[in-house]
Amino acid sequence: MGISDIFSRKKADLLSENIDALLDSIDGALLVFKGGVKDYLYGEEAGFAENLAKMAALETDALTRIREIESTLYSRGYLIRSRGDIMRLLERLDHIISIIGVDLVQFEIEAPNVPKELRREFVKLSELASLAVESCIPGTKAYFTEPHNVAETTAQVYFYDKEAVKLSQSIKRTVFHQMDNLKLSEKFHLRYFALHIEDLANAAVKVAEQLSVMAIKRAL
Amino acid sequence: MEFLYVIISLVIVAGLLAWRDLPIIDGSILASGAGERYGVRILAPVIILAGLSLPAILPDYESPILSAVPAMAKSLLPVGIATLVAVLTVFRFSRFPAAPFAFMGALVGLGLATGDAPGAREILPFIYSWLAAPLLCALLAAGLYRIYSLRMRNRKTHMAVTEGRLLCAATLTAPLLLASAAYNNSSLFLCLLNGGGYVSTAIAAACALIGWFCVRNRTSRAAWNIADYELDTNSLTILSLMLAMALCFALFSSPIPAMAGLAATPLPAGTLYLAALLGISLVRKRALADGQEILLGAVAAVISPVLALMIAYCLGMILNGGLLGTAIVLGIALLLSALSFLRRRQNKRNIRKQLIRNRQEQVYSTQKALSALEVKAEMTERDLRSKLDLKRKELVDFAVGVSDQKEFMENVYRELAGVRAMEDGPAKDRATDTLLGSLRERMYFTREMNDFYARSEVLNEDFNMRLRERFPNLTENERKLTNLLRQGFSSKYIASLMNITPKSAEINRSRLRAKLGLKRSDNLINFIKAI
Repeated sequence: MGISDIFSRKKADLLSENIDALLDSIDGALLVFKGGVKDYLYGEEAGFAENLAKMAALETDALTRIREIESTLYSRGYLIRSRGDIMRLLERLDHIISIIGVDLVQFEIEAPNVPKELRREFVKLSELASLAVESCIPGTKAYFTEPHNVAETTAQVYFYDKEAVKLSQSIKRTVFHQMDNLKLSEKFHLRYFALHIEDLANAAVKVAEQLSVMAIKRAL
Repeated sequence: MEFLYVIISLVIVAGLLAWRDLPIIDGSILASGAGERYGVRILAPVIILAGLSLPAILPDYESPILSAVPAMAKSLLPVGIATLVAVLTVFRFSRFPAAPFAFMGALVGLGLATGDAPGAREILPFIYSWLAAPLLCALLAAGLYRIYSLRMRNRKTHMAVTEGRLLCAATLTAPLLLASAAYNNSSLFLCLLNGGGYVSTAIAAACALIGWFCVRNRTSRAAWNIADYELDTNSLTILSLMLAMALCFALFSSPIPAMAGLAATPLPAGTLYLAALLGISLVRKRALADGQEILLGAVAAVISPVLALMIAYCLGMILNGGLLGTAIVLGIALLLSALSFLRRRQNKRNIRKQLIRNRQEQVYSTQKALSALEVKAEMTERDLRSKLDLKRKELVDFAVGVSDQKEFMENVYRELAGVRAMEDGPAKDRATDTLLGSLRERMYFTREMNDFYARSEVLNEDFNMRLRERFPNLTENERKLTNLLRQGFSSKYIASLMNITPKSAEINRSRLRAKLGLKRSDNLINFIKAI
């Protein structure tokens, strides 16, 4: 590190760029996820395959961004007081990306038999879970610029998570109580997918909680 | 030999500064993040040495106290010793013992003993400076924090950019803080070496290095402790603190304070650190340091020089005074030592007594618990033994009853066989009547009932005793009825057990009520149970 680096803004700009790009990747991945689920449920195989490919690219991009952010944070003395918190936030965001990717791949591998009556519910569930994650993105941006605004976005995340959980329970209830034509293994399979999509909303709640703590710590 | 005295004094002063003041400066730099920069870490020792060497290059600031150093080198030893003792004493109640103030106090004390002390007019500006420096530091820290936070309030700057700027500022402030603190405190070393000059500077630097190596590990640990726990706050606070301290050190090393009727003076980092934290706490309306610690730090800054002055004066009297003076000082010192020794011995004795008392109490409580256990065990054993006796008796009774029953049945069998063999009608009837009579008698099971009452008597021994005491006019039958009622038998069962009709049982019950003196509203069974 040269003496000129002390006055350089390059690292700060790179970090803010990478954080914004990572959040954009997550946003994009959510759109692809929603599209992918819809394509699978309505039998659009070509569209689903395209979404899978897009998802893989977005996942790789997000991981690269996370690594770059981590390497900037590890550089000496940078963001020393909030480094640990940001790392934890990155871990949680990484978890969200991996859930999105894995869910879509599991649809492709396991090809669950979703009855026609449940298609709309599954689409709605994926939308609610995605909305929960989407609500985290402005919260994350607010943490870096206006930490006092973080609290506003966390309320939305909790709301969408609650709705997603309710819908997921309703799907499970319908599957086990009303669909006698399905085999038990098929019922379990559907429950498993509902649970996995619900997990996305739970991961968003964890991000929201982390953001709340971080915002409080920044105010100290 | 004289050189040795100087070296000892220098090492004491360097060690004290490295032990208490350096971790505060180092901890602030580490907390800001600047300490992680290679440039700062590598340059830090060089900057400290440069700061110590500056007086050799630049003209040193004039200080009547520091220039009043005794000419004889052996007179320096009391200064070092007095500083050390004062700092160690003050350290017992405050982590910030203000070593530079103690050193200055020791110099004045020695001067008073030798008659070379500066006058009160010359000392007063120093006392004002010692008050003004922390106040200025607090104001500077608060002002810097306020200005920057107001500037940033309405800007949506990214945290990465803000933190980058603060880190840049901290990286520039760190050398300034190190250099100004070293320059400010270098006068302590140089005065021990009687003025500036390259040789003196080199010796001072070497002593500082020795002091640093002596307490290096401890200093490093203390610095990280300050950075991680005490300064676990935002970067702006730390930067404001560092900058305020650096400016104070620089200002009070320059001739500027003299223009305001103050004096340039060496300052303790701990006092400035507490003052800066207090200033920022007031601006942020959030306590960054413990109030008690700040108060004790202020008390330490006052007590340190006074204590060092007294000790140095006493030592100076011993070294330079006449026989009488030495005797007085030695006498006072001996008296104080004896008092301290006696107090300690008394304390130890009290502690020992307390310990013995505690142990005795423990032993007593253990013995009490043991005897309670023994009593309990004894009672349990007795209870078990009586139960065992009762069971044995029951077994024996049962066996006796069985054999009795068998014998009776055999008799009945024999007699029945005899009756069947009889041919005379009236004789047969008589024999049959006799047999029926004995069977009826058997049916009333008088013996078993007597057994039952006997057992009941044993089991409710206390109750029967109390009953006899309170109601001696009760008949045997009434006592039996009371026992049966106490055990919860209904009138029907009581009638059957006492071989009377249920109506008679009711009559007996009402008679008993009358004998016990009960009113209509009183419950007979509850009354009996309460006896």
